[in-house]
Parts: sequence; C-alpha cells; structure tokens
Amino acid sequence: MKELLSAALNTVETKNASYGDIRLIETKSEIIVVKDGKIGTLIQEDTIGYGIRVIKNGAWGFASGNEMTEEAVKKTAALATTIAEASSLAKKREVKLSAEPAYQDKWTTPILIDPFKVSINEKLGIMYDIDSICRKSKDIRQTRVFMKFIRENKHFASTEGAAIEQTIYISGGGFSVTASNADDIQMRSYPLSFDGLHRTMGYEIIPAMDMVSHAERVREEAVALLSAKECPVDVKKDVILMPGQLVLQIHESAGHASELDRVLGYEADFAGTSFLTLDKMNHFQYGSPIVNLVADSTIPTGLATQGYDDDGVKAQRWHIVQDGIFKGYMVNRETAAETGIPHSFGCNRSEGYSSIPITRISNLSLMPHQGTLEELVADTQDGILMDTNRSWSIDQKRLNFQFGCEIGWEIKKGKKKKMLKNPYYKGITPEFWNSCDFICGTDDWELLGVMNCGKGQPTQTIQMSHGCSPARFKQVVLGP
Amino acid sequence: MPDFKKILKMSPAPETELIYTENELFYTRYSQSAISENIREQDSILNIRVLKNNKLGSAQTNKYDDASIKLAYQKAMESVKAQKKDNSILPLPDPKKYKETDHFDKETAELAPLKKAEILAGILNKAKNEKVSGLFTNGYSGITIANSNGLMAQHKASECKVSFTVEIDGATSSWSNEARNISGLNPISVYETAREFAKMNANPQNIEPGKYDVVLTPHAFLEILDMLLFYGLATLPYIEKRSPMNDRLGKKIFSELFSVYEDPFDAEAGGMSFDYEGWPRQKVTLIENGVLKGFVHDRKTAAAMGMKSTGHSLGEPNTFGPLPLNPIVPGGNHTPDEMIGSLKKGLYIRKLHYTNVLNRKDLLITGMTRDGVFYVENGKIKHPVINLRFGVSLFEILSNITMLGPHSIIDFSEGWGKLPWVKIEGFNFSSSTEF
Repeated sequence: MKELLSAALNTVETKNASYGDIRLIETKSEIIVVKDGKIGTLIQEDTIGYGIRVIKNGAWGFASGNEMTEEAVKKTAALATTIAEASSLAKKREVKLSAEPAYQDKWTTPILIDPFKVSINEKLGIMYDIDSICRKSKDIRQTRVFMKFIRENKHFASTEGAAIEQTIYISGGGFSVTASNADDIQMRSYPLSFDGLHRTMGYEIIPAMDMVSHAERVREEAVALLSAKECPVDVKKDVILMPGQLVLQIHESAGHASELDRVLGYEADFAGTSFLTLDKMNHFQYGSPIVNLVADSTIPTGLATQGYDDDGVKAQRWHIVQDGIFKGYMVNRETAAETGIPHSFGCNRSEGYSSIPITRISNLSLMPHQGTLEELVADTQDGILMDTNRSWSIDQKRLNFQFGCEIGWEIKKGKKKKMLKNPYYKGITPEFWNSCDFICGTDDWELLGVMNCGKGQPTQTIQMSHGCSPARFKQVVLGP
Repeated sequence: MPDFKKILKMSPAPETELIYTENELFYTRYSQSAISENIREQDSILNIRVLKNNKLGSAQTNKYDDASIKLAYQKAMESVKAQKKDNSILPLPDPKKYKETDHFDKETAELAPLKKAEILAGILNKAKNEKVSGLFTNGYSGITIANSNGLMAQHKASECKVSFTVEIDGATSSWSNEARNISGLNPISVYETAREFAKMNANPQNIEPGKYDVVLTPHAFLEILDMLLFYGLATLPYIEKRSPMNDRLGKKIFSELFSVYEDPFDAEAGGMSFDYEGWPRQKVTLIENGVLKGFVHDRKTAAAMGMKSTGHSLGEPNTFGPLPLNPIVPGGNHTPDEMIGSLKKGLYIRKLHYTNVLNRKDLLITGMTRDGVFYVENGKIKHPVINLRFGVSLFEILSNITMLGPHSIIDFSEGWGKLPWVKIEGFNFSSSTEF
C-alpha cells in the first residue's frame, strides 16, 4: 500500500507539481432489499481504487484508476499532472490552499458490532418479519424493507507530508409501504423516507431502531391516509415540523445555502449559487434568535463524522447560524484561501476513489431550545403538524422552497385532531426561519440524516446527518 | 478486460451471469471564467449473479484476479443459501441476435484534456465583465454481458457535452449541447447563445403568479418528461396497481399532438441494442396521439401482463422494474419564433430547475424556472421575469400542448432521447422568488 502512495507522490514531485495527494480507498458494502416478501436486491460489493490530485502551474488536475500496480499509479499521477497543465491554459488566478497541519494519524469509527460479521440470515429474518406485518392489509400494494452496510478503508497521503488512514463504517435501514385504492396512492415510511436512517455505527443500529414494533402503525397510517381529509391549500397556518421533515428543511435551505463553493460560483452551471453571499456574514438575520445551526463533523455517529476530510483537515464543530445571525460556511482549503477565511473547516469530501473531493455539507443540526412536543402542541391554537419528507424543491439560490410530507395532523386549540393527507408548504428561506418561535428541547432532539445528497458533475452522492427537535413556524403558506 | 469465459468456468452455480461495465470519462468544469476542475475518471466493475434451485445471489468486485473472483462467488453463494425458494426467478436467457448499432467515435472518446482546454481558453480568456461557468465532457462507457448459456452481448458508446452559464451584471442564462460525436458539438455557439440570453435577462420584473401560456425549450421540457417517464410510464407500479395510469391504458389522456416512443435504435439518440439481461431491445409505443398505448417490459412484467419482453430489464433482481431509456417525443413543424410569436400574454421559458412530484395519483409536480424566463405580449418579448415556482398536474398540462417545434438530443439521467420545443396553454405558477 505504502509503495503505491509513494509512487504517486514521487511522480507528481518529479514533474514539478506544487501540490499532490492520493486517496487509496478500499470499500466493502452490503445492500439488502426485501420487496413484497421476496429478495429485491442482495449485493455484496468489494472495490478498490485511487484518485490523485495535483496542482501545477497554479491549476488543478485529477485522475483516478483501479489498477493496483506501481506502474499504473505512476501513469495515473502523470496524467493528473498533464491535466493540471492543461487547466492552467484557462485560469484567472493561482489555486492556493489554506495552511493546515500535515497530520500522520489513524482514525476508526467506534462500533459495537461489525455488520459484516452478522449473517445474512439474521438480517433477512428481521426484514421478512417487518414485511409480513406490513402486508397484512388488502390496500397495501408494495412493501420495501432495506438495510445497507458500508466499510471504507481510506489512505490519504500528500506532498505536504500528511499520512492518514481512516476506517469508516456506515450502517442503517428502514422500510416503506405504499397503499392505494381507486381514488388515491399514499406512502408511509419508518424511521425516515427514501433511504431510511443510517449512522456511522455498526450493526447495533438495527436493533436500536426496533423496526418490527413500528410496522403495524406505519401500515395502518398508510391505509388511513387513503380516506383522510386533504390538507388545506393556499392558506397560512402555523406549522409544526417533526424531525422527519425538518432534516430536509435544514439540509436544503441552510446546508446547501452555506456551501462556500456555491457562493463563489463553482456550481453556477449545475446545482446553483446561494443567497448567503460573503457580505452577509456575521450580521445577516438568517432566523429568529432561537435558531442555532451548528456544523459538527465530530458528533458521535454522524454520517459526516470522520477524523479528517479529503484535504487531510481535522474534524471540527462551528456555527453556521448563531442566535439567528448568519456566522459561517462549509469551507475547504481552496475556498478558505480564496476568501481569506483563516482555515478550512474540513468540508472537502468525495463519493469515492474515482471522484474529486468537493465542498460538502457537514453534519448540520438545529440545536434544541426548550419545551416538549406535548407543550408545543398545547401551545398551538390553529396549526398543522407535518411529518416525514415526501418531496422537495428549492430555487438555485436556495430562497424559494416547497416541501411535501407523508402525513399531517390538524392542531386545534392545543389538541392533535384529524389526520391530513398531502400536506405541502412553501416559503422564502430567511422569512421562514425568522418565523420560528418554538424549538423543543433535548428530550425530543434526534440525529437523523440524508443518504442521497447529490452534487457536482458528474454527480457525487454522499451522506450527512442533521439533528433537530420538533419546531414551529408561524403563518406558513400551505400548498404546491 | 476480464476473461469472461474463464470466470464463467470458475462458477460453483448451475447458472451464472456476468455484467461488466467500464468507462473512461473526462470532465472539465469551469467557473468564474477559469477551469476549476479537470478530471479523468476511469473505472470498471464486474457484477456476478448466480442462480441455483430458484434462488439467486450476487456480488460485485473490481478486482479481477482469481482469488478475488473466488471470493465474489463465495459471497454470492452465501446469499443463495440464505434465501427462500422463489419460483418467480427466471432462468438465464439463451444466446440472442442483436441489431447492429454504432455509437462509438474514437476521436470523441479520446479527445485530450489539452485540446479541450485550448478550445475553452479561447472562450474563457476573452470573457470580460462576465462570469462564465459550465462543463465540457467527453469519453466512453462500455458494457459486456455474458452468461453460462453462452449469451454474449457488448456495447460501447462515446459521448460529449458542453454547457455554459453566463452571468452579466447579476443576470444569468445558460445553454447546452449533447452529442455522441465531437463533430456534433459547437462550444462557441453554445457559449454565444448563453451570453445572448444573459444580456436579455437583465433587470427582470415581477409578474403575478397565475396561469400563463408558455413556450418551453427542449431542455425545459426535459424536467417535465422525466417526471412522466419515472412516475407515470413505469411498468411495475401499473402491475402493482399503484400507478397514476391504472385504468387509463388505451384511453386518450393527453393532447393528440403528444406522442412518446421508446426507441433504442434512433440514429442520434439511441442506445444499447440489448437490456441488462442480454434480451434484445425493441421500439415501443408508449403514448400515441395522446393515447396511452403501452409500457416497456422485462420478462417478469411481460409475463404478468400476458405480453412479450421488449428488452427493458434493468437487471435482476431489481425493485424498480423496467423503464424507458431512450424516449423520443416527435416534434412539429413550427419554429421557436412562430411559437413565441403566437403567445398573446405568456412566458418563454429557457430552463426549469429542481422538479419533483408532489402527488403520484394526479402526477402533480412542482419546480422553478431558471436562467431566463421572458414575458411575451402579442408575440413580442417584453421583459425578463423574476423566477417563478410552478405547480401543475401532468394530466392537465400534457393535454394542453398546442404547438410543437424542432427537437434536440437530450441526455436524460437514464439514457439519451429527443425532445421538441412545446407550447402549453394554462401553465400554473404559484409563487415567485427574489431574482
């Protein structure tokens, strides 16, 4: 392994590059899906490969490969250097990186149970149990139960002297049911929609989620939604968002908006830019004074929790929004140097060995305030409680957003009343966060997350956690 | 490339399938009028699927030495042992004959990063008082399918794409061009189009949300058709009675101007001549003159509906079922100028952004306009408009298509296709943003 890392760095140094690094990544994964009582997917994957970054003549080059010989690595490193030379034909400035310590270290996700030592039989047993409960209704048309386990062993070495080895585990799962009749199609999921709940944990997350005991409730809610009352549209109501929806609100309107590469225009042609321009830092009223959004790649079990990012920068915790004021960005070494921010916050991550690291959202959480969910409902006269994200859409500067949830409930005079289907709401990001007047305390705070965050060209899919407790937003517009 | 015959011989199972995918793709991204990322991605992976006693297992690896292949087989067989018998699992196909296709151009696959940088430098280094960003990509992807019955299918396709987003004094616009062959790409023309519309997009004005007649470019229409293909024309939800198309087969559901064909053999936008099980792909009529005519099929969905496979398996097992990969929407005889000229009070929309489905039963979708939307009165463009959010049912807007124009080749997320300019009446906008 060391020989391959050295071969890459020696090659780029011989070719007079000012910077070079290599990430050599070995990944093992297992994906199991049980659909309608049968195996939908059962894949075990083993891959290995490397990506080499080079700065030469003040410009970037990157090349990846999966042929694990010194000769192939040298050839790939030489190609990355040639590509950097080509990039320098169209540059406006020299690429610089913020000064950071060159660490030599090892870091491993703390786990209790190695997911790859648990038999497939045991995993399938739980999945079949959930599936059979979910299918006990004539209106259920599809059930989907899934588990995913990943172990990534990553070696990072740079011409600055960094040498870091990390082993990161991700484990999780979930299930969803689809009910339909002649009039409607509805879905419910647990613990989250789309890819369920994952964390940097071992197999211990599976029993902790206790999916079997939620299967009957989820099935019955999906069936009940078919005949539930429609959520009102084109009116303003106080909205209580449960963590299953609030995670996406944080992700889309705060997470992506605070990526510094978007602010600087690096994503202008594809994902878009951001309304959180540099002039707004430290004084823009992003939200109400109780809104505190904290980025933290050190938080235990977070999906972006690691020892070091793909620039070799140590994991950190910092405020994006403090007491409602916009305070900081997701920053890597390049964007820190470009903007004069003193150091990187360790946000450079890639999907895998064949992808170049780019600025990504870290774990980003809405900090708990005070009160319980029971007190929040009791304090709400006329509102809608919404749970579990179903759809999302937001403009390219992250201002005008629209979300749909799987389920809603009327709140009248402090009581949870009728179930509502098709709850949608929309707004403008700072107006919405400034209308936040209640965030529940630590007892209701959960660390959930996103497994399918896409960014970059070619699109890289990556994961991060978002923690939050239920929160209320005043006079939000409902509807598509 | 791995030795497929040797790997098949190593299999411990009665039936074995190998799917090998490989690619070498070069992506050059630029922002702030400079190259900001310049990448060569080279990758490959082998998917091994084994069948034994109506059970299946699979494993993937990109390590092709004997020990790694043995380990992959061992894992796949562990999966087999862990399973219940499933009588719906079909045996692997026998060898097939395929139509010949030619989508590979060596020059496009191997266009050097230096050559691309020279082309881009000619544009980016001259950019004054504007910020230019975008993507220029080229390369190839290949797939080989081999199974223990002797089936062997291979496909290799080159591709290239260029896009530009130009910002002038805060006003932006964008344009792009995709092709299988580099000779079909004109970066300078794409840049100039984006620049022209960025200039036109200065000082946008607010308009009241509500219903407007609209003219959409093919790239804007893509955001709508993608929703129809994935949520409306997917076969498995129809069979499982959870599709918005249930009870609509054979009925007129859209404008008679609107047809969708799945055509793997279209000369410009076609793709593989076989599916991910090695079954020959066929042209399929999905929508014709507004009538829902049918769906694409793999062997399982075909059996469920009493049909024959059309060669659209995404590989077995999978939870999505078959999907169209090369959709062709025939265009019309109108020019874009005629279509815009026909708007009394309407909007000319260059691009849509971040579209998502809200309600699967009604195919209610939402999304934003982006990079150029213009208010048109009595056929004349009056002024650019601050971006709007739309909320529309596909059943309503696809019934309101009243004019079709020329088509463009479009790179869908799943494959390539062709879409035309469209005029749609009564397109609903629910709110606006701030730029």
